[in-house]
Amino acid sequence: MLLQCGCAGTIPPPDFTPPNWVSLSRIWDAAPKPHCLTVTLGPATVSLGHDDFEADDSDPVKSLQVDGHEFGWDNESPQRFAHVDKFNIEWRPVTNGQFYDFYISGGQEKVKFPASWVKCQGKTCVCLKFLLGAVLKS
Amino acid sequence: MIQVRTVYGPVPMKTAWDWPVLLSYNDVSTYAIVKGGRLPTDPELRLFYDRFESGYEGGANWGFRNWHPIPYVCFSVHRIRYIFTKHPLDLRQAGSGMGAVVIMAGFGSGRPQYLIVMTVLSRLNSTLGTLKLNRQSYC
Repeated sequence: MLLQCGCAGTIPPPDFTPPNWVSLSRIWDAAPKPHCLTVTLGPATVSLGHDDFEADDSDPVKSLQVDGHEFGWDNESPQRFAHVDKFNIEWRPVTNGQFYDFYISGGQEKVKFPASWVKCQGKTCVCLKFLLGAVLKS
Repeated sequence: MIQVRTVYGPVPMKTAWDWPVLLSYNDVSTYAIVKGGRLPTDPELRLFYDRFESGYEGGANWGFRNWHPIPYVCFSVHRIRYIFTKHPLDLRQAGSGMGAVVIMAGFGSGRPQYLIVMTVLSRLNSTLGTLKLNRQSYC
């Protein structure tokens, strides 16, 4: 979803217009926030993958038994179980805003500048070619 | 000034404030450690995803619903999540008979077939008995 054209020659499809960020932001700002930051889960046993052996595909009998059979990628077979201890996990993924606050308050000594961000000087953003040629200035 | 890259060109940080940040593994791991935690393991994350509907209001941002990231949202408490652990339910029945809105059907290969229905509790009271659902309020 998040791409940038670092190369020349990419042309956007015709009539491909940017969304209205202002109205989208208004909707997002009005969305309710979680009451709590984290949820406690576990201990539990988690099932990963499933039994869908590649060898069965060429078996004249098993390959036709599809009732209740789970299909999947070869690297998801066989099913296995993993134990998980009790843990707290945040409801939400880390956002740009959270990481920005961290970055400008000492974090830049610990982490690199995110490749998904771009530094702008004044009203000109450098080091980037735009898919649509339009720069949204703040 | 820092902006966030999108296919539409950079957007102001303020616009992208609540979007999930895209980072390298090392940097997001450092962030988690500085904040007093760590990144979840694969089984831990699987447990979280199996237990809760983790997406966006109106369904996940897949199938090119949007060409840019969008914030996660929280479902308000008067909305109730129902999970059908099997999938015998007729979608048309769910859509009309109960006033429910089907927002997402998850078909991860090998995962249980989940049909997730968002609705308002009061509209479902009369039909709860027939559904026998696993009812959970969400955060």
